[in-house]
Amino acid sequence: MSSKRKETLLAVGFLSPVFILYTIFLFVPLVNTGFYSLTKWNGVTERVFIGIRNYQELFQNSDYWITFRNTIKLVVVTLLIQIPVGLLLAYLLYLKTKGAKLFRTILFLPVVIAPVAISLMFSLFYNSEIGVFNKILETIGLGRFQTNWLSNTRTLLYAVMAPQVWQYIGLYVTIFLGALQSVPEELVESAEIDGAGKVRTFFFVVLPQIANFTNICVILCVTGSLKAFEHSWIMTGGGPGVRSAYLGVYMYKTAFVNSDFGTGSAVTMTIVALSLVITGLLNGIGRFRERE
Amino acid sequence: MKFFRKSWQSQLASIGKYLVLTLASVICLYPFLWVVLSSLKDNSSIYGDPFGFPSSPMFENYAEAWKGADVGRNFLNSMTVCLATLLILIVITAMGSYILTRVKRSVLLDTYFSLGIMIPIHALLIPSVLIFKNLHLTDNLLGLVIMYTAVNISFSMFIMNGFMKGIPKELDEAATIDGCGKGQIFFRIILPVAKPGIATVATLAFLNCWNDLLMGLVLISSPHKKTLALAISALKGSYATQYGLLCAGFVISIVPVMLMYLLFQKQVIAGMTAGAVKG
Repeated sequence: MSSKRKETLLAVGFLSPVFILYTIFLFVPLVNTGFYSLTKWNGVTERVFIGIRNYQELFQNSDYWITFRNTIKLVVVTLLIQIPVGLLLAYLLYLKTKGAKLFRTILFLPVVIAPVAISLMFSLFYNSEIGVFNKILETIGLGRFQTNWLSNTRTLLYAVMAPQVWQYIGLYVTIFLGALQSVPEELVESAEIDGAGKVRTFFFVVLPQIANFTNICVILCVTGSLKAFEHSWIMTGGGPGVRSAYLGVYMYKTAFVNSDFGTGSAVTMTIVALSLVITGLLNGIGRFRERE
Repeated sequence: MKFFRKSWQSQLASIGKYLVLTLASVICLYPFLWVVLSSLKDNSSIYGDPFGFPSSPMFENYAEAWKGADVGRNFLNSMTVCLATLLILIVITAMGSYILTRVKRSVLLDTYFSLGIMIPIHALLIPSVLIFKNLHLTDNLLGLVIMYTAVNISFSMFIMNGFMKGIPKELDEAATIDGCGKGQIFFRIILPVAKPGIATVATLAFLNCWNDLLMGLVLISSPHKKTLALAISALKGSYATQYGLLCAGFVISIVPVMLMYLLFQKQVIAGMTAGAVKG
C-alpha cells in the first residue's frame, strides 16, 4: 500500500467517528426540528404536514408574545447590568490591584455552578417562610420594601431574572479583564502623560481599544437570554400562566408538557433564527467597525 | 503641596476601589456561605436565626440527603455520564482535529463543525427524544452520553484546533524522517504535546455535562437514573419544607464543580472565554 493511500485511510478513519456522531446527533436533529415545525404532531400519532400554520398560529398567540417580551426584557436587563458592572469591576481589577487574582477567582465562582442549583438557592432566599431577602431588607432599614417576591406580579419577573444576572457577571468581568490586559500599556501611559485623567483615559483611549470584546459580550448577553430556561423553570415553572416564562420555557412547556411537538418546534426555530440573526448582525457591526 | 493632595486623593480612590471589590466578592460568596451554614441546621434554627452559625451542627443532614433522598445514586449517575462523555469526546475530537489541522486541511469541514457553536441545545430536544425512542435508548444514561458528546463537539474542535495549530510543524517532519507514520506521530508526539488543549476541553465539557438540566429532563424519567441536576430540581418538590436537607443536597451537588474550578481554574477560564470569544 502506497504511503499516500495509507494517509487517506488514516484521515478517513480518524475523522469519521467525530463526523458521524456530529452529523447524526446534532446536524440531522437540527434539520428535523425545522421539518417538525411544519407539521401537526403530538409525538404519538402520525405527523401531518401543515405548512406554515404553526407559525401563523404562534404569532397570533398572546402567550408567545408574553414570553417573547419577557425574553427581550431579560436581554435589556442583562445588557444594562452585566456589561457595565462587569466592565467596572474588570477595570478596578486591572488598575494594579493587589489580590486581583483572588478577587477574580471569587467573582467567577458563581459562573461555574449549575443554574439549577443557583435557582434552588434563590428560591430559598425568596421563600416567604425563611425570607432571607426580606430579613436583610428589614435589617438595613428598608423593611417597607418587603414583599412576596415570586407571587407579587410586579416583582415576579425581575425576581426570576436576578439570579441569572447575578450568576454571570463574573463571566463578563473575566472577558473584560482579558481585553483590558491586551491594551498596549504605552497607549495608556502616554495618554496619562498628556494629562488625560483616569476617567478620560478610560473612555477615550481604553474603551475604543476593547470595542470588539464589548461586541462579544453583547452577543453573549443576547444568546444567553434567548437560551434562558433553568432559572425560570425551577423557581416558578414559568408561571403563573406564562408570566415569568421565557421563550425557552414556553418551548419546553408547549412540546413536553402539552405534547404539541409541531408548535414546540416552531418556537424553537424562532429562537434559533433570532439568535442567528442577532449574532450575525452584531458580528457584522463588529467587522464594519474594524474596517473603519 | 499639590503632590500631597494628589496622593491623598489617590489613596482615597484606592480605598474606594478595594471597598467596591470587597463588596462585590461578599455578594458573590455570601449566598453560598448561607446555604452551607443552613445545611447544618434544622428548620427551627433556620427560621429563628437565619444568619447565625449553627449552635450544634447537624451533619446528619448530609447522611440523610445522600441516603434518604438518594442523592448518592444521582451523584454516581452524573459522574458516570460526565466521565464517559469526556472520554469519548476527547478521543474523537483529538483525532479529528489532528487530521484537520496537520494532515488534510478542509475549510468546508471546519465550517461544518463550527455550526454547532451557534445552536442552542433547545433545538435538539424534540428530535433527540424521537431518535432515542427509535434506538430503544429512552430513559438510558447512554442516550445522555451520546447527546452530551454531540453538543460539545463544536467547541471542543474549536479549542483543540487552536492548540494543534500551535504545535510546530518541525516536530512532525523530524518524526517522519525518523520513520514514523502519521498515526504514530499522533499518538507519540501530538497527543502528549496537546495536553493543555485536552485539559481545557475536558474541564469545560465536564462543567457543561454536570450542569445540564434540559437534556436530562427530556431523556431520563426513572428516579434511579436521574442525574444530580435532575435530582436537585426534584428535591425542591419532595423535601420542600426540610430546608436543612435541601441545603445539604445543594452543597453535595456543587462540591465537585467547586473543586474542579479551584484545581483547574486556568483551564476553566480559558475554556469559557475561548467559547465566548468565538461567540
